This record gives sequence, structure tokens and C-alpha cells, in this order.
Amino acid sequence: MTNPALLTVTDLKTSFLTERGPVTAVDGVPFTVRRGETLGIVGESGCGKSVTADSIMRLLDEKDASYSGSVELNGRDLLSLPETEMRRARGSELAMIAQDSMSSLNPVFTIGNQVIEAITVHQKMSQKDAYRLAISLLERTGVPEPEHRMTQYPHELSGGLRQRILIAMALSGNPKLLIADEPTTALDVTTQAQILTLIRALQSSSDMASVLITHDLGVVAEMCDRVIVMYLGQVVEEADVDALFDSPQHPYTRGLLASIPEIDGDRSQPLNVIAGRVPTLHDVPTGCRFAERCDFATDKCRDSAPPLEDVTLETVDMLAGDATPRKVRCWNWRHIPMNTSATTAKAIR
Amino acid sequence: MTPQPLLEVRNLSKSFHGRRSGDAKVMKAVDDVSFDILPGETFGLVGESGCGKSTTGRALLRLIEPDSGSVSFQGQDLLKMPRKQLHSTRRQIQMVFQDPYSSLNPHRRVGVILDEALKIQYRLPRKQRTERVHRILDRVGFAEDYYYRFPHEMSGGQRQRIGVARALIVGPQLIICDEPVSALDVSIQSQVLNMLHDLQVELGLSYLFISHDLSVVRHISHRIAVMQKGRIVEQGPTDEIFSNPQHPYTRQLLDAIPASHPRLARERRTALTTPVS
Repeated sequence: MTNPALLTVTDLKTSFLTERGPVTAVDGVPFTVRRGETLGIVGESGCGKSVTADSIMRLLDEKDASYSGSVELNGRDLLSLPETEMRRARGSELAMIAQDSMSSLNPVFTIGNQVIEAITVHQKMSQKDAYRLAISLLERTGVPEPEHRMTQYPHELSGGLRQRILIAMALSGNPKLLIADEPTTALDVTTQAQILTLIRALQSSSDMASVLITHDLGVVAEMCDRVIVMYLGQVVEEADVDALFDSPQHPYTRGLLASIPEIDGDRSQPLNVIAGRVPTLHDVPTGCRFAERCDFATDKCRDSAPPLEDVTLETVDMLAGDATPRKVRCWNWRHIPMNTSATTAKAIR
Repeated sequence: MTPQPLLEVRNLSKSFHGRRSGDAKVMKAVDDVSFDILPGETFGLVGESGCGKSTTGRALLRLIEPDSGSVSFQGQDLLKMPRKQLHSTRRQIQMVFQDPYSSLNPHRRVGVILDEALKIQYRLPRKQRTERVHRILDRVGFAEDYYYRFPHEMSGGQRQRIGVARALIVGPQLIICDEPVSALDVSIQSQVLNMLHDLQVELGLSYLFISHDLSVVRHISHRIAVMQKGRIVEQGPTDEIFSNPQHPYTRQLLDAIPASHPRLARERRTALTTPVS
């Protein structure tokens, strides 16, 4: 079963010119997304997950941002497309929904105006047909009373409804790839559940792939097939979603998983704390970027940067069958005792 | 024998009216809310945005003046207190806010921010105040030189620890924490939660912990109240609320929490889509 890759990102680097000198916010990120698959990108603020999304869409101002590497969608490198062609690709081949639905919609135009615009930008059709298509898109995304909504303004709708409208707009060009950047972070938990269910349903009724960017490992557990974990601009781990939760390999991933209060966790235990703070991009460590916060760091970790190593064959569970790609960026991952969360590791020491 | 509550809230209500006078639209933000907080206890107030949980927290301290009800703290009704007495009662009840970026004055050094909080409540010679500021900084895990830092030189988690230190410095018995970790990354969030827990054990503090995050509330609270549209729909010991929710809204909230493992997520989806035969 070889599902061909839809999106192949190779050695993506995104740098910005800042007043304090150049910084590389995304530093050599590789991943692939196959047809129909959902890839999660997780990490904390500043890890580069949103810049990765913006780079794939090429939404950054190219006066201060520069890209290198390649982002191949269906074999075509988006990074080397002229802007006019990139424009055509956005919305029709790949589309994006952002976190803040209020600022993604124009406050002075009606919903109808904006949905119809999204349609007619990419497809030649009459206003009447576009209107009909808009209504059917709103129906598909579960917007009640679509005719009435078309006449309303963004501020008249709830956050959940606005997010549905944005999803409808993103779907209008039948994209092959949907990039969702924290699509439910601004929503209440019950609304979040509805939106996640909607995205899932829309995906299963087409072969649309998605990249889901989130800081919330619960959302990852609900939605993703595979996951990459980012830290300070780099991928530190890639795994199948079950494998990531069952046997996280990178100390950062382990620390992250142990930091979350789980809804069915042991309340009497203190939560894990990842000591220290994320270094700034102006001050990237020479060795492993996580070393100074890591309980398992050795001199080697502080001196030289570990590569993102393919460990698929070493970690594959023979009984489970199919080997899914697994990568870890750590010198010592083999020596960190399994089934030991970072908290208990501290206690052992 | 159950201990005497530290705080007794009875039938607290607060409505907001439309912008124009005579506007018929009345929003009952807090509607007949009653609960107790025991000494040394964390009482969690949970609900979705707009349910009135923050308004409740603010109404207790009269940061927003409630319409009716009573808030009895150590036997005295805060709502009937003259302003001056209320002011000094705030030594006992402090608040920690959600956003550690906007709740600290960006022009003041950390030491000055903490000193100011102390000065408002106590007339103490400068030397004693400075000593106390240093003690509190040490207590929330900062090295001495943080006294001279500005908020912008600190991370979100560090700032929130300063927010907690500012509440602690006047020696309160109850701290109202309004979404204290919502703006923080998970690894930082756990630092603040653990610190709040340790302080409680050490100092016997009570918390009113207001949050939309059920997992966080569950982790830190002894008892929980669930709010919806201004009313408390259910309250009880944490484990009972989570293992045996009575109100349909509580159940709806609990069902909406993302699973902690992808396998659990799949099981739940299968359970939902398999028709009962």
C-alpha cells in the first residue's frame, strides 16, 4: 500500500530580516503529506509551526522573508512559482483556515459577498450560480439558515459559525490540501468538538489531505494520522499518532506529554515541568537546541547538533505490521529508558 | 464536622443593560449564584466564554458592583462594607489575572511592582518592604537580580509568577485566579499550576480557580461548580462531577473534551457511529 505523496516539503528554511539581525524561524523542515491523510504539526509558541504553514502558502512578505528548500505539491515546487501562478494555486490546490475567524473575514462586507468572491476568484461562473454554490457550501459545512447568513456581517455570527464560513470558503475551490492553523484554539470546547467533527467528515467524504497545526495534543489525538513535533524551528520527532502517544522518543515530546493535566490522569501527582525556557532565535545553541532544558543531555548534546535520524526500522513493532516512518533528533534516544516519563526520570536520578 | 467556610456566596446576581437607558434587553450575567469556599480549598468555577464565571469572580471583590446577594468573608458581608473597610479586606482576598502581559505595568521594574502592591495595604518602612519583596521573589522561585527586571524581559510563565507574587505579598487567605494559565504554553502552564499547589499546601491558601479548561480545573480543584448562562448548573466534589455528572450541560462539556490518546478518540467515534440495535 503505497499512497503517493501529495505534498513533499524538503529542507524548508524560512528566514526573516529583523532589527537584531537575520533569524531562521524554520530551519530545515522535512515532511510529506499523502492523499487523504492528516498530518499534525505540534509545538509551543515560537517553534515555527505557523511560519511553516505560512511558508507553504507563501503568505509571508517576501521583502523581509526568504525561503529555501522546496515545497512540492503534486510534483510542482511552490517556492519557485511566479506569484501569479502561486495566486492561482492558493484556494484551488491548497487552502488555509486560520485561528482568528474575526480577522480572517472582512468586517464591512456581508458573508455572502465574501463567500461568492472566494468562489468567483477561481471559477468562471455567473453571480447566480456562484450564489447557489455558496449556499450549498454553507449547507455542507453545517451553517443553519444559509440564505439568511449570506446577508449577515461577520460580527453578527458566533465564533463557531464564522469558523464554518471560513471552512466553506476554503473548500470552494475543491483544494487537494487544507492547511488549518489552530482552527479551534479560539473556540469553546463544545464548539471545538463540532468543528473538529466537521473537518473530519468533510475529509472522509473526499480525498482531501490536511495539515493541522496546533499546540493541543488532545486535538492531535482526535484528528491526526501522523505527527511532527517542532522545537525552535526544527522537527525533533516524527511518528504515527499512536506511536507518538505510546512511546514518545524525544525528551521534549515526552516532557510535553507529561506536562498536560489529563482528563483521566492521576490528580495526586504534580505535573511535569520542562525546566528553563525556549532560547530565542537570535541565540540558537550550537549543539542540540533542547540540551539546556533536557534531563538527559550529555557533553555531546551541548557541543554538536544531532541530525533528524530515521529510526523507522529500530522502533517498528513487528507484531503491528506496517512500518510507518519514524524520525528522532536526539543523540541519546536509544539510552533513555522506555516507559519512563520525564518526571520519573528525574526521581530516578 | 465540616469546617467553617472562609467565603460564603449567596444568591449573587448581576445584570447588564443595553447601552441606551430604558433598553429592554437585560443580560443576566450572574444569576442567583451561591457557593462556599473552605479554608485551604481550591474551588473551581468552570464554563464556556460568556457564562459569567469572570463576572462572578470580579463581583465578589466588587470590582464589578453586584446587584444583589451576599458575599460573606469570615462572617462579614463584603457587599455591605463601606469602601474603606473593603479596601483593607482586600489584604485577605487577592486576584491573579489571565493575561500576564497586560496586568503588569510595563514601565515599572518587578521590584517596584511588588513594592507598590505592598504599599497600598501596609504602612511599612522602606527597608522592611524591600526585604519582604525579596522574600516573595525567592518564594516564587526567582533569583535576587529579578528585582530589577522589567516585565518585557521575562517569559509569560515568569510574568505570571510575578502576578502570583503580587497577590501573595499582602498575605491573603483567598486568591481569585481568573484563567491564570490560559495564556501560557503547556510546559509553562504546569510550572504555574504546580507552584499554586505548593503555595496552597505551605500557606493554607484558598483559591477560587476560574477557567474554561476542564482538565486544568480537574487537576487543581477540590470541588467544582459548572456555570452556564449565569447560573451554576451543578456543583460538587471534583471526582463526583467528572465520574458521575448529573446535569446534561456538564455531560455535554465532558464529552467535548478531546481524548488523551488517539485510541480513546477512535473508540469514542466508533461508539458514536455504531447504531444501537
